[in-house]
Order: sequence, then C-alpha cells, then structure tokens
Amino acid sequence: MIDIQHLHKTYGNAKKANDDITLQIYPGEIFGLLGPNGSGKSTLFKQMTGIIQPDYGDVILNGHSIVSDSLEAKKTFAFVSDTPDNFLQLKGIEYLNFVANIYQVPNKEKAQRIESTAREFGMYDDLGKQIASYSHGMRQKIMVIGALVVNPDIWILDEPMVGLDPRSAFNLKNKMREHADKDNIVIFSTHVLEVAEQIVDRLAIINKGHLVFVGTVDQLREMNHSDKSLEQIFLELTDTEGENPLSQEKLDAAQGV
Amino acid sequence: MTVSEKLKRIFMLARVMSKSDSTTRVVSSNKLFGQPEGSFGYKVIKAIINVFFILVMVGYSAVFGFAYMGATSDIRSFSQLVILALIVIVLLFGIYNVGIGMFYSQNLPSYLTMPITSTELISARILGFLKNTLMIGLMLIPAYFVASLMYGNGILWSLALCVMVLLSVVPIAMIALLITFFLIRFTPLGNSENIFKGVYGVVSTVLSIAMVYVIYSVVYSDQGLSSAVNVIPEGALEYFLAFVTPGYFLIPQISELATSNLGLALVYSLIFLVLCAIYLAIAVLVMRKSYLGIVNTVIAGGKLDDKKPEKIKEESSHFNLDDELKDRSQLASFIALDFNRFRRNPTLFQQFALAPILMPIFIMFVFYFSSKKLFNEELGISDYTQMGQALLTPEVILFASAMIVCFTFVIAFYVGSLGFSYSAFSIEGKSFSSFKSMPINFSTYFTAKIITCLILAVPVPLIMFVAGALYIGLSPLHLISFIVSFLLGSLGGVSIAMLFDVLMPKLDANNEQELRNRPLNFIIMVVLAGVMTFALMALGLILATNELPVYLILAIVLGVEAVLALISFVLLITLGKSKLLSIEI
Repeated sequence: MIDIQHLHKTYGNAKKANDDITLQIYPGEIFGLLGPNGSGKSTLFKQMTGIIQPDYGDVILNGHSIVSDSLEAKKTFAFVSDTPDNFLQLKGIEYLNFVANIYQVPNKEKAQRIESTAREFGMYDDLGKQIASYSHGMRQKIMVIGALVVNPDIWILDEPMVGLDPRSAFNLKNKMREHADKDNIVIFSTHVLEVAEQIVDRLAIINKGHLVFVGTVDQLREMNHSDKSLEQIFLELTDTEGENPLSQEKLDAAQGV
Repeated sequence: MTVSEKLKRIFMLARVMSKSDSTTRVVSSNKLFGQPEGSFGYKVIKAIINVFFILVMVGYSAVFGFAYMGATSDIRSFSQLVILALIVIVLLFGIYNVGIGMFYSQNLPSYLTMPITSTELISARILGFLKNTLMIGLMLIPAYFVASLMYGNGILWSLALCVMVLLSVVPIAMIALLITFFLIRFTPLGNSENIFKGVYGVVSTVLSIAMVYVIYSVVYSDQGLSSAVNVIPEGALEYFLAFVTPGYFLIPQISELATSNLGLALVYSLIFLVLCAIYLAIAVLVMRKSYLGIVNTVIAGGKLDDKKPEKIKEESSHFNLDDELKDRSQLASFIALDFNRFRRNPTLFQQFALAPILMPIFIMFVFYFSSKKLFNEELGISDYTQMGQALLTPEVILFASAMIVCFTFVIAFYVGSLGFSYSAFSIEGKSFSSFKSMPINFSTYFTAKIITCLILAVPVPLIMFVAGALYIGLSPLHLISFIVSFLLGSLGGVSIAMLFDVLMPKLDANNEQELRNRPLNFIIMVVLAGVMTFALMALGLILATNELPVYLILAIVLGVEAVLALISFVLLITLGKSKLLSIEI
C-alpha cells in the first residue's frame, strides 16, 4: 500500500508545488494521476520516490517511510521518470544489467526477464547499442524495461506512454494490468484522458498542488454531471486555478474514508 | 554580403557552438551559492570567482617562471619547455574536442538546415578552438613573461615573445586537425562514430606524443633562427635564406628570439602571425569542399565511401546476453559504470583517465629537461643514480626522511585531487535523479567512486616512483614509508576533491569541458593543497631538525598523514552523504 500523508513542498520562490496532499493507494490498483502542466504531478512523484525531500509529510510504501527508512522503501518500487535521457553513455544491455544489479535481481532471472521484456517491446536487437544512439521513444522503452526487469511490488511511472509506439503502449498497458492483478500497485501520470479512462481503477486530478478529485472514473462522472465528457470535466476541474478544489468531505467520500 | 558581415556571422556561430555543443546533454537549473543564474548575486559571485581564479593562476604561473629562471637563468630552455607544455596541453585536451565537434556534434543537423556555408561552419569551429587554446595559453604566459623580464628583456620584447608562445600552437593544431579530417574522409574509421571516437582517443594521444617528439628532436635541433641572427651582417638574401628552415615554419623559435634583439622579435611575430593566418586558410580550403558531404553521410549513418574496403567492421549491435550480464555488487556496479563511461566517451577518458597517467610522465620530463639545463650538461640515468646515492648518506636520510615523506603525501594529494575526483560526482549529471529513486547505499557509492579515482590516479605515478626509488637503492623502510605516504595522500586528495564536488556540484554540465572548467573547485583544491604543503613541510622540518630515530620520524609523519586522510574520507562520507540527500534536480 502507498500511504501519502500530508505532503507539502514549496520551492524557493514560495510557489507551492504540493499543498497538504493526502492519498492512499491500495494493492491491486492501477492509479492514474492527471493534471495540467506544472500542476505538481512530477513533484509528487519525486517526493514519493525520494528524489526530493518533502517540507513536511511522509510517504509510506509497503510499510517503509521514504523519509526515515528510504533504503528499504526504495526496494519496494521502481520509478520511470518523465525524461528518459539518462545513462546515455551506456549500452541498453549495460543499463539493464546495472539496474538489475542495484536491485539485486538474481542472474538467472535477470537474463530471462530482460530477454522476454525487451522482445515484447521490440528492443532486444537494439540492446547492444549505446542509449545515446536511441530515439526518444527507444530511450523511454529502455527505462520502462528497466523498471519491469526489476519488477518490485510498486511501479511508479511518470508519463510512461510519451514517445511509445502504439504496440509498445498497448504492451505496457497490459503489463500494468497484469502487475496490478497480482495484488501489486501501479501508479502513473498521464495527459491522455483516454488512457486513464481505459485502464485506471481510480484516479486523482491535481491542480496547482491541490488534489481536486480522487476516485473512480464513474464517481468523477457522477459528481460532475454524467452527460459531460471526461475531457470537459477535466477542463472544468482544472480551470479553477486550484482555488476551489473539491471539499475534503467529497474527497474523503470518494476515497471511502 | 560584405567581409565584415561574413566575419560577424562566423563569430556569432562560434559563440553559439561553444555554448551549445555537447555530447552529454543535461538540463537543470543552475545556481551559485543559492543564487539563480542571471541574478545580480550570481553575476557578482561568478565575477569574484573568475577574478580570484585568474589571480591564482597568474600567481602560480609567475612563481613557476620566477623559480625556473632563479634556478637556471636559462631562457632558451624555458622557452622550449613552455612551448612544448602548451602544445602537449592543447593537443591532449583541445584538438580532440574539435575533431569530434566538427563531425559528430549533436547540433550539426540543426546547422545543416540553416543557410550556413561549410566555410562558415569550419571557420567557426576552428575559431572556438583557438579561443580555448588562447585561454589555456594564458595560464603559461605569466610564467614566460616573468622569465623574459628576469632575463633582462624589455616589456615590449617580452610581450612579443608571449604572443608567439600563444601562436605556437596554431600550426600544430591545424596539422592535427587536417590529420583528423583525412582519417575520417579516407579511412574506414569514419564509417562509425563509436569506433572513430574510440580510436581517435588513442590516435590523438599518439599524435600528441609524436608531435612533441618531432618538435623536440627535429625542430629544436636545427639552427633555425640562430642562423639568421648570425648572418644578419652578411646581407638580406642570406638573412632570408637562413629563415627558411622547416622548424621556422612550424614553431616560432622564441628561444633564439629571446636572446637576439627586439627588432627581430617584432618582425618575426608579424611574419608568424601571417603564417598562422595562411595555415588557417589552408585548413579551411582543404576541408570545405567535402565537409558538408561527410557530415551529411555521418548524420545519415551511412558509409563515407562505399567502394572503400571495410577493414573495420561497422559497429555491431550483436551481443550475447549471457556474456553481457554479470552479477555485481553495488560497489562493483558503480565502478563498472564509470569505466563504461570512459570506454564510450573518449573525451571523458582523455580528460579524466589519461591526464592522470600522462601528467606524472610530463612532470618527469620537465624535471629531466630542467635539471639537464640546470647542470648545463648531458645527464644520463646513471648520473641521476649516482647523484641519488651520493645524497643518501645516513645523515641526509635522517634529515630528508620526514621532508620527503611529507612531500610525497602532498604530491599524491595534488594528483589525486585534480584528476577524476574533481568531477566524479558531477559526471552523473541528470542521471543522479535516477540514483536517488533507487535503493542505493550512498556510502557504498562514495567508496566505489574513491576506488575508481584511486585506480586512475595511483598506479602510474606510484610505479614510476617505486622504480626510481629502487633504482637509487632506497632502503625497504623508506620505500614502504613512501608508498604508504603516497597512498594516504591519494586517498586524502581524492576524498577532499570529491567532497567539494558534492558540495558544489555541476550536474547541469553541457559537455565534458564544463565538467573540467570549474574555477571555484580548482581554487579551493589548489589553496587547500598549498596550505597542506606548508603545514606538512613545516612538520617535516621540525622533525628533521630534532635528533629522533628515523623510524620514529617516519611513524609520526605517517601517523599525521593517516589522520589527515581519514578525516578527508570521513568528511566525504558524512557531509557528502547528507548533501547528496538534499540535492534536488
């Protein structure tokens, strides 16, 4: 389970990136995080994964605090960031080997996972090439494959579909579903509402650092007049500039608190 | 378009290229002591750092010139030494970037879509290279200026000589650039970027050494300008003919000019300036016709010449999964990561791996060269051995033990702190963000980095040192003490340099050059090493003047050094670790 507790982050210019975010994500869920550019999605992911420290608040990942027990907490998840331009000097295979070694994946399993996952994403024949020579989409794929090879309980994916070709995006969505169905957690962010609609069990909409909705797609429709499209609802919710988010009662009700 | 407009375009292009070209691209916010880039505070701090850096560099350089002339009074040998040093530095650290930048820059496709001619592209690239060269040259100029003044030459004369020191690299650089061009154009090396980058690292190093050898043994051995000086009274034709020697066209004979007269120095500078312009023009003319064709082919990933026999296989993406996958601990994984970077990125290899290897060899060369001049005779290895053995009487050993062990520590500290450790953390760039989300023990991370730095910094100088010590018959006690001292100094230097890299990281470097050009870190390390030199040498002196047994002196010195090394290491692990956790990118 992921338990996000009152996360708060303010950057140097006093801009609140996250303001008291509280959220629980349960095993078996694919959880989508939606929000306009600069709404605080990436900051939330960075705080969840220990890349940046929250001003206050905590994230408990399968019982381990990312603030006070970060090493154990980090063993529970794999993270794919929104920028895949990392480790450019390594070959694809070297990157995967490096990541697998960091997470201590046994060699036998490592070989089998790398081969099967890379083949599924059509990357196997390119693993011997340097990441710097990959296209943007291939870089994104290799980062995703890295996370899947490690295969921890929780996958945290920041804009994972960006740059993927339709087949790879389809494969990834299937993988996410399979992973969640094994009582694991997948949390991902996206701008593509159709993707969210297709695969999420629950979603959160974040705007200006505030959660403005948490619940299922059906609940979202019910709370915002079911005749409207998801796109219209999203635009309305994020058009408030974060000044008029849903009341805490509604958020609690949606989360079943 | 007028000539001035054309020149303007070339200068503008050179400026853009030097700022934007990169082989590793990382984008993040840039701050200096918490001041965001572009703010007034940022500019002020940056200006202070730059001024301080220049003062430190000028100071060190001037002291070097002063010390050399104080010891030898030999401006001729110093002239040759300065030019050779400059050429080595430029060939090792400059020409490589031009070669790679000219044909494999990431931004080339963008330039090709613009109405820019090949002449403009090549000229701008060369211009950028020359600017960097001049910046490097400025480090040696104060030394030469001081030396020339001490020799008794006037200010104008000394300035003319300094100009020629700077110009001395132009012909050599143009030759190196043309060799690069021919390698890409006419050999199978050009068919693969990765193969080219790998081989070119070795080629440019061999080229540097070969050129230095040629200059030293051929150019400096011919009479060159000294003939001209001697034939001045004999008439203009003889004077002109005496000028026409291969050496004259390649390297300015400043060793002769420094001891001739002001008029000749001024005339020669002007002639050499014109020669440099001709060399630049020749380089541009030779390359411009086929440059765009080569670049187009390189970008398209094709072969430069289909008819060319493919002796070197095109880079293969084929791999054997079982061979590639290795079970490694976190420690070994980090070490392997850095060495893979060196293998793939020859610029990194050259700047951070090769430099620590070549620097001690170069220092030995300087030592040999200057001592030969100092004693004004040809000294062989056996002479050095005899000198060493004559010096190593029991009394001298007693006195020198403490001093030399301290000195060894300081040398090792310098070498350790100015190598890879200088940017061992910053090299992660944006990838550090990924590390922070992984279950990484940062103590292990630092240990791996220290091991990598030591692997790069220690073996070559240590082997040279031990070989030298064995040759002059040093006792086992001293030999062991010096080895331990060297290792402790290396550990201290590496740890402290890494600590400052972590405290003031450069995670947004656009290229390898930016990782290297970090004046503040450099100043801190140089000042720190300077303070340590004085402190340790003072300790050595105090111990040496007390009549203590040798083993006790060595034990005290090594104990102090061990404490210093340990403090450096602990500071890195504790302060560095807490800083790492607070870095937000």
